[in-house]
Amino acid sequence: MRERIALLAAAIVFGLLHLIPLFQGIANLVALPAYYAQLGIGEHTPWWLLVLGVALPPVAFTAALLIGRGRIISHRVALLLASLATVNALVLSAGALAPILLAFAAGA
Amino acid sequence: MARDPEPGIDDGDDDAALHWAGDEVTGREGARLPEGQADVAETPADEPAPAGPPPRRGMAPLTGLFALLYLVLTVGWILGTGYTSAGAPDLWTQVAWQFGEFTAIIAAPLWFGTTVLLTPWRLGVRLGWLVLGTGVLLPWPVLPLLLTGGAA
Repeated sequence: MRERIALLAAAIVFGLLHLIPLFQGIANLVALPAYYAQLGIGEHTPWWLLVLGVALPPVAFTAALLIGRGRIISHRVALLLASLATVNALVLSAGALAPILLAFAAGA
Repeated sequence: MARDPEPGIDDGDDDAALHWAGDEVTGREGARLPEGQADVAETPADEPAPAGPPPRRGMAPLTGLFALLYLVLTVGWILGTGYTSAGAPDLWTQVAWQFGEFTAIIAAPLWFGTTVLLTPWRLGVRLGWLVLGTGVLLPWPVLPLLLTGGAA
């Protein structure tokens, strides 16, 4: 019973922490196309990257919960922590990739 | 500063190597080992190892190789976070961004540690997850540093 409560608490805490990159992804999805359109390069909007930024946090969180099924609580927390860190790393990677993709698209 | 051994104190090693009168008769001509060492020397080398899960051939070297690779990824993320910015001056965005940067830096060691923790005796599964992590956690923000050669 105690382990179930701890697991629920960990899932809630890490679920909330996964919301931060999710909100960043939604903000990028809303703001970046408008910004590109304002610059007159709306056709170069990296839609796949923006959609990935929104989809990745819930997918990674769900995957961490599913992979951790049947394991001890410490292993499940390790999975959730690795998921959060990976999602945040990918958010930074997406932010770095967007101008590179734009440069390639403009050069093509 | 090293101390000389005190005179008169004998550690017994010299005596153990000496021949004794009558050794030729008893067949003990050779230098003697101390009692404990003699016991160790007589232990057979092919005695079975203690029971445990069978180690997979190549598991340790490959894991060590990936540990080095993930260390490089971590260094890349440490350098790469210097080229990212939140883009907004408000406190909440700054705090969230700093948290994201910190977790991005520890993402590679976390992925590596979790993989090693969860795949103790499955070499193929471990390698698969480690290869996947290498691709996923490439530090793209460090690209400006690589392109400019550190001049930026």
